[in-house]
Amino acid sequence: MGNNLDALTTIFTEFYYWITVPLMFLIHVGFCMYEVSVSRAKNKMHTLMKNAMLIPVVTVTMFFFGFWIYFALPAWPVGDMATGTGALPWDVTMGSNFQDHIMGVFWAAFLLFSWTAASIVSGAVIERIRTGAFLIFAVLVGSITWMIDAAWGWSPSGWLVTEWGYHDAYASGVIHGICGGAALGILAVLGPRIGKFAPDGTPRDIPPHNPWFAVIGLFVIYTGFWGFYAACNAPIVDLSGDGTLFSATSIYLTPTTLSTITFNFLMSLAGGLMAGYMLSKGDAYWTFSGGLAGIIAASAGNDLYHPLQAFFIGIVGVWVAYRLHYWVERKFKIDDAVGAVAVHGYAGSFGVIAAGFMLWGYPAVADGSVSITPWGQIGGAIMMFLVLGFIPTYIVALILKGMGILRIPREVELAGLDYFDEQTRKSDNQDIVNAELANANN
Amino acid sequence: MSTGIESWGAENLSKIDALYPFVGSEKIMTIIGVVIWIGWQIWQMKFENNSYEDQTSQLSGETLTKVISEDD
Repeated sequence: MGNNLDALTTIFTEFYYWITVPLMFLIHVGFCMYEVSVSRAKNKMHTLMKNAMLIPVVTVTMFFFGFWIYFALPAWPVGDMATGTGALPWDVTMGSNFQDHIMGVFWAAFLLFSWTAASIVSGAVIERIRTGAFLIFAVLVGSITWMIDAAWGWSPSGWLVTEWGYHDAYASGVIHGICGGAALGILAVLGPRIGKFAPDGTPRDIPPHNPWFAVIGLFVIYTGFWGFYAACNAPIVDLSGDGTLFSATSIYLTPTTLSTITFNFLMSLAGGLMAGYMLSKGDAYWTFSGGLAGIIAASAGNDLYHPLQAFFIGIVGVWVAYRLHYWVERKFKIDDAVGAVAVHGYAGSFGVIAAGFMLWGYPAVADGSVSITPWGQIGGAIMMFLVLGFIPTYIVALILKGMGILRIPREVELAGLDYFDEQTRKSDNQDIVNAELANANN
Repeated sequence: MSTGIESWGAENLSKIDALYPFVGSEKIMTIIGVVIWIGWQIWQMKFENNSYEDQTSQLSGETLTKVISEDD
């Protein structure tokens, strides 16, 4: 810190990112509430534990290698290993270090994205995947594939950005597209829950055990999404280079303002809610999911859009996600229990492509050496959803299925994952009641 | 005897980087950490597989039908 301005900027930046972490923690709380509530009562505790245990495995793997991937792999095809040295788990900066105040906070911001990535996948596969298998996917998506896509497309030096002009300011494709694709890759191998489809192929609704709490979970995700948006920005950057013009920037170090993202976050939420309500005829689940999908659809360009553009894109993105969800469900018999592929994958990929047309010709990086184009965005959307999303999880799911460790046994699925725990609880409770009765009669 | 820092004096602060004790043990700690992580994943899968085998054996035809019919 050379002077007071540098010191203030550094401390503000540290504190800014630090505050985003507990805010983003709410995303995970919301996902747990949502996912558990959508499951049937006979599966709820298993569903909770499956999601909760992704936290430790993704956290330690992000420490061991996930964060290193982000710094080491921006260049095509295999990056420059030397650029990741500071993020190796044995480097002095990956610990309490008096000369570096930001690394742990920055790591945590990325880590919370990683939890979100794994959690998006988690909801789609509930009530029939083994926890052990899911935790392998959590590491694959949360600490490997999404970190590769972040290195490629969510860094000013990533090759998708410097070569194709890829622009995805608030992660329509970088988080949501890839995770929707990853969920679809698993679902294609895992198969639907027993009873989801009638013999003639007609899909049946499997009612959530607590619909009210499910939508409250989505409300909590909205709240956490503020932290997500904040963490996607660099909060204060000297854009002039001489200390005369400071501003927030996107992760690509291109200008934006907190005002812009506040306008656009809320307007895309509004568009998504209205579209979800209209398409579903007032269904609470799809209305709230629509709000989320609206934000996700506009996120790629929400650093630059006009609020009404964000509103329109939110509406169209939800329409795309809703229609595709039911078409894919009927056509391919895909049982996506929470609509994760639609809300994240389809809306996110649509949003990436829409940004290519809306922001056509805008500089993708601060020096203006490459511009945003529709084809760059279409290529990026394919890279996120298909190449880094669908294909890796599809292959791993096939391997796990071949080993017989992907899906829970049929008998356990039919009885419910919590059946034996519930029997034990009832038995323990009866023991206590008997003891209390004996005491009362003495 | 000290495991790390011996003074918080102003003259020393600018020279301090690592704040944790036992500087130099980072690679060993990483190896131990990775072993714990992989060991835990393997243990979890074995534990889960054994649980399902046990549960499946208890859920024979009539029992399973009764359990499903009692499900609310």
